Amino acid sequence: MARDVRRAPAKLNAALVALTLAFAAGGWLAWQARAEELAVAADRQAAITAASTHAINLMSVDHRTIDSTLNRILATSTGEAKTGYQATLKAATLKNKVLQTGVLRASGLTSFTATDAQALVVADAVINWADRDDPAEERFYRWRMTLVKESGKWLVAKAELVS
Amino acid sequence: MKLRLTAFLAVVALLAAGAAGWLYLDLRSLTGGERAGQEAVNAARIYAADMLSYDYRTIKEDLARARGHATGDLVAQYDRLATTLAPTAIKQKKVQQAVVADAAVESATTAEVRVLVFLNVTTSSSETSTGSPRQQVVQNRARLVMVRVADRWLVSDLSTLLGNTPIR
Repeated sequence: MARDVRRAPAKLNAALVALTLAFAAGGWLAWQARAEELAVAADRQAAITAASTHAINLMSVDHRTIDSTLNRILATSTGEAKTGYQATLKAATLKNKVLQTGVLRASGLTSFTATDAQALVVADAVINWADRDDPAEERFYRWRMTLVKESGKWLVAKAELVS
Repeated sequence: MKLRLTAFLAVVALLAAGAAGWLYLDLRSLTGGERAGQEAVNAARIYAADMLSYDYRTIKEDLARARGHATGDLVAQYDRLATTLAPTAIKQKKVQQAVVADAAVESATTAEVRVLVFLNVTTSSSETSTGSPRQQVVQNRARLVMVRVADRWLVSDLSTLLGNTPIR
């Protein structure tokens, strides 16, 4: 009788250890999956931020500091978009004496994978006329931006207006 | 001595269960957020077009349908629209047709999703005030705040995104 009483906790102890191990294993798996999900969520946010930053850069153009303006735009773009800016932006900005400030209204993702994303951005421009006394004019824009991930960084490969 | 060890092991097992349970629930809400975003954006595409379209001949039904997609304060706003917009729309024979050009997820949790929608809104009316054409198309942007109510996504806020010009 006394021996049975002593044996019961040993079995119970073993069961508790097994239970703890099972929970630990389950918890570890959940932790791994959770870390992965958090990384993806952070990456989505990074893509949205990249599109927003590019839109602000693209809309904030000052012909007096064209080189730093252009550098900011080129630093956040790649591929087709970048080539396009390099070809035309500087001459057009200087010719028209563009002086405008970008305003971000909203941005979100329409699609997202580990390497590609598409974003919609509402970024408007407030234009100051250099050679006229007219009051500042606000222009509204709807952007669709295609983003690609290059060496760990989201860059805008294409920026088009949504009609 | 043995009982003390058993008690200790029981506490450890409970802590492990608690931690694993919390991690699992947190994981579920993270994966749920992504799915919620997809569901809500699909609903928002249909709702946004519905809520911004009306025809003066069917305006009562149009506004009632729009009201059906709304929840919270937005319901009261549609009630007000029924008394303010309806008479003018009928008088001016106004028809407004909104078509969704594209929609994107701004942020998503299992309970609330913010959706950015691009809409092309065609408005026509019988009244031609000087300078404005009979029919005009406006490229609009809207933010729909979608909330889950009893397993359905409903619109709790609808705002056009036309902010103030920045101070310079």
